[in-house]
Parts: sequence; C-alpha cells; structure tokens
Amino acid sequence: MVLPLLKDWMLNNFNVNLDYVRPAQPEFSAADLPSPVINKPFLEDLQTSGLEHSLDCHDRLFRAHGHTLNEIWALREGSFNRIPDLVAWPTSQVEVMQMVQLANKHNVVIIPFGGGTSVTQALECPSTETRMIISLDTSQMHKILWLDEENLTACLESGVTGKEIEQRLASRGFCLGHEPDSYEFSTLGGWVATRASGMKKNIYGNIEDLVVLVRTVTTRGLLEKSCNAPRTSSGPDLHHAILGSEGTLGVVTEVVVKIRPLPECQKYGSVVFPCFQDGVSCLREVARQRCAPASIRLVDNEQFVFGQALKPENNSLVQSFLDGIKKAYLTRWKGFDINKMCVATLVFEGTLKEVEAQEKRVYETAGKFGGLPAGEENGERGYFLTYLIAYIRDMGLQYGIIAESFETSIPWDRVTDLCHNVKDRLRRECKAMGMQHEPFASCRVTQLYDAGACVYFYFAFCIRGLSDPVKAYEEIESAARDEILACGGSISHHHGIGKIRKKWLKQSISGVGVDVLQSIKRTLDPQNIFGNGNLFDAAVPISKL
Amino acid sequence: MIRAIPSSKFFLHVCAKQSAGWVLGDFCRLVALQLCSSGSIRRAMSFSPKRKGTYEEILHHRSQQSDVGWSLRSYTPPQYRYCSPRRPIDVGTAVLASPIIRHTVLQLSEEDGSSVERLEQEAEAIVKEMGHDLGMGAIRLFAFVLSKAWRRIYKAIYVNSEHLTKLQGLCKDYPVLLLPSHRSYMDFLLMSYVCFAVNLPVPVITAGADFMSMKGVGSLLRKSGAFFIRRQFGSDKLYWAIFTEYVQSLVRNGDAPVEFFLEGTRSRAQKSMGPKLGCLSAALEPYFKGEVADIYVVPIGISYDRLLEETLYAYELLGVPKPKESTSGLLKARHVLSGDYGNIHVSFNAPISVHEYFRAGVDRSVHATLPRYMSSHSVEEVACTQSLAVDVLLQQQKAIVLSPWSLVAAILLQHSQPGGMGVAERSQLEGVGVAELAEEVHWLKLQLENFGGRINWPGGYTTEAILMDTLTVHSDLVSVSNENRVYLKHVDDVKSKNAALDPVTMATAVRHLTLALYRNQLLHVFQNLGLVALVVTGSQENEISLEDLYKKFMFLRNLLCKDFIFRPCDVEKDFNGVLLGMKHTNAIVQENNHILVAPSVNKCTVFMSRMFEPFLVAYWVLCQFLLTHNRASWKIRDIIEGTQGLEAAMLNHGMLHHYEILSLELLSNAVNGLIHCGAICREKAANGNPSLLAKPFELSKVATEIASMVTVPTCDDAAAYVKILAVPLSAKL
Repeated sequence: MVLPLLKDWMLNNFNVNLDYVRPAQPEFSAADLPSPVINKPFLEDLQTSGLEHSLDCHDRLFRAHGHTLNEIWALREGSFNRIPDLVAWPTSQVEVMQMVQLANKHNVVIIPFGGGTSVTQALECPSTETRMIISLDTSQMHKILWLDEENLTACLESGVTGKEIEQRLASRGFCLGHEPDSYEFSTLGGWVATRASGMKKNIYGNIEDLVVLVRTVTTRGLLEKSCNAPRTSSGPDLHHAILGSEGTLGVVTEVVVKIRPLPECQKYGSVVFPCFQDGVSCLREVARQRCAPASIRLVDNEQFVFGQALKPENNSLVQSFLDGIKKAYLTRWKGFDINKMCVATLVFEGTLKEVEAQEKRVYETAGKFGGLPAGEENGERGYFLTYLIAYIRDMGLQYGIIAESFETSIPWDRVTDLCHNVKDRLRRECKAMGMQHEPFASCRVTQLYDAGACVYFYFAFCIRGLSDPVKAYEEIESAARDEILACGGSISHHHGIGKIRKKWLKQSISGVGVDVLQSIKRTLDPQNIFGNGNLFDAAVPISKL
Repeated sequence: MIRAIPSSKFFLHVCAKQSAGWVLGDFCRLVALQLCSSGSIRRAMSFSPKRKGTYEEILHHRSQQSDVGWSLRSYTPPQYRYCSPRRPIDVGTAVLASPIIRHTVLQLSEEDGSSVERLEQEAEAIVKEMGHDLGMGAIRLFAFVLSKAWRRIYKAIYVNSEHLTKLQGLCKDYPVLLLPSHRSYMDFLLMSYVCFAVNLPVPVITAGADFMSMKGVGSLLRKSGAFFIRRQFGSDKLYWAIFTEYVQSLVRNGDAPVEFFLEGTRSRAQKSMGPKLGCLSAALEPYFKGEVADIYVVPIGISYDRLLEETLYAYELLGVPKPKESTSGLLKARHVLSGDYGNIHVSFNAPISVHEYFRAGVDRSVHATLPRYMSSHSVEEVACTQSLAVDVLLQQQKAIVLSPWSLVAAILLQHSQPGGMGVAERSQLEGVGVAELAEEVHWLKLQLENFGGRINWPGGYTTEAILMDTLTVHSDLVSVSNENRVYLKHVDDVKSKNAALDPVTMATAVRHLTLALYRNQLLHVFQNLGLVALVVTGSQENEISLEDLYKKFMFLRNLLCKDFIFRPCDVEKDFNGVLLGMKHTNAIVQENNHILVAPSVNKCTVFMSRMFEPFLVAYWVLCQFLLTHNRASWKIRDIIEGTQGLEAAMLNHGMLHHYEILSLELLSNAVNGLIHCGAICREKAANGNPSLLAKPFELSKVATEIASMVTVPTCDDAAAYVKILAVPLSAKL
C-alpha cells in the first residue's frame, strides 16, 4: 500500500529529515540476553510432567515484552536486563493447574502471557526478581469448548484471539462483538485480566458485561462460580476481583461469554463538525438520548488532518476532482475552517431497518450541532487508521519519531477541557525539554457512557537531539497523566495500571482500597507466585523477612 | 475649595457627551483647541526620546502621525485559541444560565422561602448592573480623544517592550490577567490605551461601582470594557455567585484579558497596599478546576512623574472625604488639562504562569468528585493564591520606574537635625541651593540603583539638568528663584473640614503629605535596608550581634507588615540579602558576626532610618494614645481619630516634627500592624459588632522598642502629654 501524502505530513509536523534514519539493531543473540535463572528441582519436575516448554532465548525474549514504547525501544536500540527464564505452553485448564502447583511447590514465578499486546509494561519481568520466572503462554488454549444457541452463550478457552473468536463464531452465525483495537492479537484471557473495552461496546458491552462465568487457576485452586445464571446476588462479585487483576492473582483459563447472532447489516458513516466543541456537544446529546450506534468516535482536527494524509494513492482523476469539490463545499459554502473542523466516525449494526433508523437519528442530532454527513469512506478509513497506527509507529521510529497513546475516562462536562489541557500540557512539556519542534498531540473521544466518555490521546515527537528519548517520553506522559487527574479524569479506562501507572493507584482508589487488594492478593497468592509486580508492590509475607 | 478633582474624569465626560450625542459644543471646542495648539510640552522633548532601553514611547512617536488615522487603524490583536466569539451581552446571558447561578437561586429560595422568579429577576438586575459592553467604537474614540488631550500634558508615555512579544503569543494560548498597580484614576484608561497602542487585546476591567452612577460616563466606561462591582457585598450570596461566575466566564472563554487591581482601590499613599484576594481567587478558579490549562498573570507597574490627584490624595489621607464621582465635578476639573505632567511609564513584568507557580503546592484533582459549579478552594489553593498575590505586588513594585522627583521629595522631607528645623522648613524660608540639592539627589540615586530601584534618568544629562527638569514639572509645589535656590510653595486657601486639624496644621500637613506621596513611591526599594538602618542607628551599644539585629529586624517587619509588602517566608533571605548589599556599599561594617555601630552610623544609614522614622513615630503615638486611655473596647475609627488629634496637639507643641504621621491610612495600617503583633486584639462585642481590645503590656513593650530606635518625646514630657491629651479629647469623649 502506498500513502503518498504521509511524507509531506511528516515533514510538516515534525520537521524530520528523511535522510536521518535510526535503523533497528540486529536481532538479539543468546549472548545479548541475560542467561536464565534455573530452579533445578522445578525443571526436573517439569520435565517429568511432560508439559510443553522451552528454554530457547528467542522464545523467552518474545514473551519478555508487550508493546509499550520503552519495550519496543529496547528491542530496536536497547537491551533487556531481565526476561523470562522459561516458556511453557499448557494446552488445557488441567495442565495450567499442574503448572501452578509445580510453581507453588518450588517457589517459581509465573507470568501469564496472552497476545502480548500490553501497553502498560505489564509483561515486563521485575528486574529485582531473583526467582526463576516462567512465562505461561496461553496460546495453545484456543478451543471453543461449547456453544449454547438457546442461551446465546459460549465457553471459550482463554488463549483464543479476538480475530479467531469472530471467525469461528461467524461460521456458526454468531459473534461476540468485542473488538478492542488490538483484537487481531489480544486474547480473551488478556481482556479479562485488563478489563478491556471493545469498540462496539454500545451494542455488546465491555468485557465485564460480556462474561457470564470466569474460571481462574490460583495457587489455592480453581476460583469459579457454580452456574451460568445471568446475574447473582451472593456477596461482592468475585469476577470483579479477577477482572483487571492483570495476572497478579492467577491464570484465567476458561470463560463463558454471551454471544449474539451476526448482524444483518453493518455500515460505516461519518460526520464533519465545524469544531471539536461542537462534536463533543453532539456526542453528549447522543449519549443523553441513548441513541449511540455500535461505535461512534470523534477525532480532533489534528487527527482529522493526519487521517487525510493517510489516504491511499489515488489514480483516478475523477476521484481527486470530487475530493476537491467536497473540500470546497465545506470550506467555502459551509464556512468550515480546515484548521478547526473535526470528524466523527460511525459504525452502525443491526437489521437493515434498524440501521436506517439509527442513521437518520444520529445524522439529525449531528445536524443540530452543525455536523454534516461526510460519507462511508471517511468513516471506514477512520477505523482502518486505528489498526494501522501501530505499524505507522514502527515506521516513525525508523525516522526518529516516537509515538505513543494513552487514554482516560471522564465526566461529560470536562471532556473538552481535558482534551485542550492535556494537549497543551504535552506541548508545554516538550518545549520545557528543549524540543525545537512542536509535538503531534491529538485526541479522540472513543466511547460514550451515560455519565461521561473515554478519551484517547495520540502523541508523537521527534527525538533528534534528545539524549534519552524514552525517559523524556515517560516524563512527558507522566505529566500528562497528572494533568488528566487534575482535570477530573481517571487513571485508565481500559489499558490498565501495569507498571507505568502504579504510582497513581493509591491516589485513585485510596489507601484502604489498596489494602483490600493487598489482602485478596495475600489470600490467593501468599508466596507471590504471580509476581509480575503489576498494580502495586505485593507486601512481602512476614515469614519471609 | 479643594482643587484637584481627577481630571481623567474630565476626558470621560467629554467623551460621554460625544457618545451620548448631547452638547457637542464643549467637546468640539476642546478638539479645536487641541488641533490649534501644537502643545506646550514639546519644549522638553529631548528628555523623552523615542526609545530608552527596552522602553518605547507611544504617545508622540508613532509611525502613523495623524490621530484619526491611528485610532482608526486596522487593529488585530491576538485572540485566545479556544475562545468562542460572543457579544458582551451574551456573557450576561451565559452567566444567568450557568449551573452555579441556577443552583444558588434554588438554594436561596429553599433557605428563605423567597420565590425563584423573584430571585431570578434579582439576578438579572445584578447582571445588568454589572455587565461590560466592550466595543471597538468606544476604544477608538478614546484612542483619539486621549491622544489629543494627553499630548498637551504628558511629555511621553513609555511602555517596555521586552515581554510584549511573549505576551502577544500567550494571549493566543491562555487566558491572561492583567494586574496593574493602582495609584491614579488614570490607570484604567491608560491600560486600555496602551493595549490598543501595542496591539494587545483590550482588556475587560473590574471597576468600583462608584463610577456607575456618573451620568453618561458609566455607559461610556462600559463600552470601553469596564464591568462594575459593588464595593461591599459581604454576605449577599447571589451577588457573590454572579460576580465570580461573571469573572470566570470571561476567563474560561478568554473573550479578552481580565484586568483588575489587586489592591482593591487606589493607593492614595502611593505605596502598595496589601492584596485583596476576592477577584484573584475567583479568576483563578477555572485553573484549579481544570477548565483551562493555565492562566498567565501579568504584573504591571505604572508610574507617573506627576499625579493628577496629588493634592486630593493629601487631603484624603488627612481625612477630608473624597468628592463623590459626579459628572459636574468633572467639568470643574477641566483646568487640569493645562500644565506639565511629565512622563508616564508602563512596565509590563514577565508574565507568571499560574500552572508553574502552583505546580508543587496544589493538587487540583481534589475537585474531581464534586460537580464543577460547587465552588470550594482547598486550603492549599487559598494559601498559594495569597502568596501569588504578594508576589505580583512585589513584581509591580520592581517594575515601577521612579521619577527623579521621588528622590527630591525624599530629600526635602528629611530633617537635618533631630528636633531642629528640617529642610522642608528651611526650603520654605531660605530655600535650598540647586547645587546642594543636585548633589544629594545624585547620592540618593546611586543608593537607589545599588538596591535595585529603577529610575527614569535620561543619559547624557547632568544631574542638575535633570533636577531642573523635574522641578519644572512640579512647579505647583516648588519654585526656583533667580539665585538658583529651591523654595517650597505655600499651600493657601486651605479649608479644613476636619475639626481636629486647624488650618495652619492642615496647610503644613498637606505640603508634607504631598511630598511624602512621591517619597513613598521609592520606599519599597529601601524597605529592608531602612529597617536595618533603624536598628543600627538607634543602638546605644558599640556593637550589635547579627542575632540581635535579626530579632529587631523581625520585630519591625511584623510591626510594619501592613505598611510595606513583605513575603513572610523570605525574612531570612531578605535579611541576608540586604546585609550583603549594605556591606558592599560600606553602609555597615561587620566583624565576626557583629555589626560595629560607630562606623555603621553614616550618611546612608542615617538617611534611611530617618526616611522610615515617621512610620515608627506614628505607631508610637498610637501606642501612647491607647496606653493613656483606659477603655474596655475600641472602634478602629475612634483609635485613629483620637491618635490623629493627639499627634496634631504634639506637633503644635513642637514635640514632633513629622506632619505626615497625621495620615489616616498610616494610622489604620498601624492599628492593623499592632493587631498582627498581638498588641491589639480583635473581639466581637456583645451586640455582635467587631471591636478592638488594647493590650497594655504588649503595647508598652512595642512603644519601648520603638523608642529605642527613633527619637520620641522623653518621659519628662509625660506630664505635658496628659495636658495636651485633655484638649482635643475632652471635646470628643
């Protein structure tokens, strides 16, 4: 695919010099990587058990990282000082239980690994860990165990990826409808462990709305409910102890989820607004009326312009002529300012009739806020961009551009101010670090709720002249998170805490809240076998001191 | 008849007439006059070049020479990037529709049962009374008329350009608060004029409601961006809510920079007064609540070579009430339009980022769990706002460019011998030689520069030339004889409305206070130096340990905290800083943690201590007054007036010489300073009214401490006191 406009956009926005390249270093060899810590009795027991495993350095390296910027940077230009010592591939819940028992017996650390798409350093091995670390890869647990057409539920193993789920369910006429941006790679178990959110949650719900039953293997045994009933009142919902536990309590092995019949019709759409504030007001109104389609996202002007730069090569003269007319119509006739306008992208799902009705209602509402329908193609490209962005980031690194995203959720009345303030803070921090060129700071409102919205930020800057770009990035993101909290936003909407946001957890859930989580951890995992160090630092048991 | 009615109002009036369309005669006559006369001021233009360092002249030197052309020129100031443009009237509508006002109305209606409709009407009336009506028409009219009028009386208006480019950029990215010092009615118009001249957005300005009632003028001021705030609205919740929301609406949307005066009112004594925090904390709330990314605060120091209100201020300080702002008063003040008022300097200081300032001290996320309209400043936010306010005042002072006349005034006020006849007296009788005065001025200018003061001192001229120039500007107060001697002029035609002061005392006091106004303008430069000097020159020992010096320094800072702006947390820093400076200039001699007194009592320390002496004397008399009157509770008014009477009596008997101690503002500061020191205690009387309780032990301690530093009447005179006291007070009590 050719993106002819992208080069100009990069030149304009980052002032990069395309002759300046930072190639990735050659692949790591075993000598470049820390040698494995081996717990001999454990290894012997593991070999006797016949569970599939590997000590190969590339297997280990592959599971030493997610997609957080500093991890990608370490792969390209840096090094790792701690990686898993062994990778295991259990194929069923029974094998997971065997693994956990062995680990518990020999005091070996287990870090569950799904699709490896974490962006919070959740997969990073704590550098201070002296015990042997096993990466428990769930990828071999990818079966659909059963499907219940009457109750519209299915039992899936946790290692199955989003793409696989949808493909296999579709072949039987169903869908799950959970589509995080990472769904090509991310797994059901990972979604549960991070409290994931899907693009189409307006119809299907987020992961916590989708699960009916979760089975988790802990060092104390299997944690599960007794029935597939839709809702129970039986004390605090233990699913919520596991949802968002980020691999610190056990391994999610099997999940019963709700499924839906495949929709008859799916259609993209888009609306352009004169300015971001108008767009936010429209989304707020849509949320108030509860008439949101499967997905509705509002991207700001910066991202709108960026999206234009990602238009594929256009050979047809007619097409570019039409584009010209459209632009002229908007800017001349309708008075849109090309430097202020923004676009909302839409996905409609349902029966033909439902989709038609939804379209009408949404476009009508948008009209009240100065929004004009801008066609299916723009909408589709918007969603396509979401998947493309991770690849573009890797290309950017080649030219010395660091890019990353972060997200939050916030009450409606603060959405616009949050967007303005965080972007301002990003620009300001970059300036304070002596960067010559303004960074690319952009945001989009990606999810609507009754009481607020989820806001997603993209942020990129040119690293030429910075001595430690990753540290610079981390400081800037940290400042941005402070700004988010100051504006009344949350610590995270769906990425989770991992290791990069640990320092704000106490402020977010109170000291008592952290104690509650600590006590759950202590009960389920007194030896800290699931010692990936996410969320908070587990209190070391007194007997160990 | 009191002469000086602020002339700025005259211009307003003229404009008001013009805009209102009635009686155009006066206006036309004025303009015609302007156009015919090429300006008497030009004579001394060489002292006022187009550019001085970073300062640029904007009144006489501009690229577009015609005033019409200039006032109608294309004016495109930067605009805040997230501003949604709206008409002034829409601000009011937005305020009335805001959650805070709706909430307050419902709450009040629940509290006292009044109907929602009535409260809403009340709210509407308040908004109508408050609202600004900023429009370019009025601004351009002002630009034209003021250019004409000011050229007649001012040699130059200088604006420093060093921060302007940055400020213009900031106006695009953040809401901006302009915080000028406030020492004249003129500030208000001047700021808008300057903004127009240098292509900054013209501000909206919080103004006292006193102007509102002026026929025609009120609406003209609204059109030039003023919105009106009542002076007192203590517990009126609805008014408070509307006021804060009005300010915040302007800040949030960044319609225009918001300008207000931190000191709340004009500083008649010409030195900064303690900040009033209401407006500032209201304006900063959008930042605390994350409604804007940052707010930039711009301290601005404005200085006038000669004040339009100089005599008026002197009378006001002595207790003659200021005339009520009225349109007819304006007309009477027309004569002010002739005369030489020298230069004006408008100094923009570096804009302060509120975000950077509050970064460490304030956690804004505490507001996350309450709806935004529920206003509540956290304790840290209040403390930081207070500290910011003090910093802004200090920055204003630092920015102010002093006139050489301040030096002259300081010297003329100095007493040559304790108890003897001062220069002020001498200069009235036999005059002071120009050469002698020039020498003194030169010496003081050096001191001023050594301690960080900024002064308007054109290069390439002798001190004498500069002195003569400034004496000409102030020919109302001084005259220069053919023998080159400087004489202070008599104040004649004194009509005292204050029973406590006889016409003779009044005349002397007015003359002294008028000089003191200009002297006060430079006191901030020497405020720490002066306190050290007071301790050193008052010492009876051969040497003082640094520890003792610091203790006394602290005592004076606490006592004088209402008269001067200090940062309480900087005591030590200021102390060490000023000691270092004094050592470098040989003002004090230090040996092993001791100050040697004999060599440290020199021209500098004596001069400085004498400059601050009147303040301490006033405080001392106040202590004596309270100590000799045994009353269970006081009203602040009684203390001040009683003390003023006592001072007048003591001055008449030749026991005291500083007529400026009669200033009511000084005495009011003294009471508050003594409250701060714990020598007077605030109480609530049985009827709920606030009252004051004198604490004799602490008062006599303070009095003794003061007496150890400055010359006050001795104990032998004690008997005389009682007699003197009996005179004015028996009449009153």
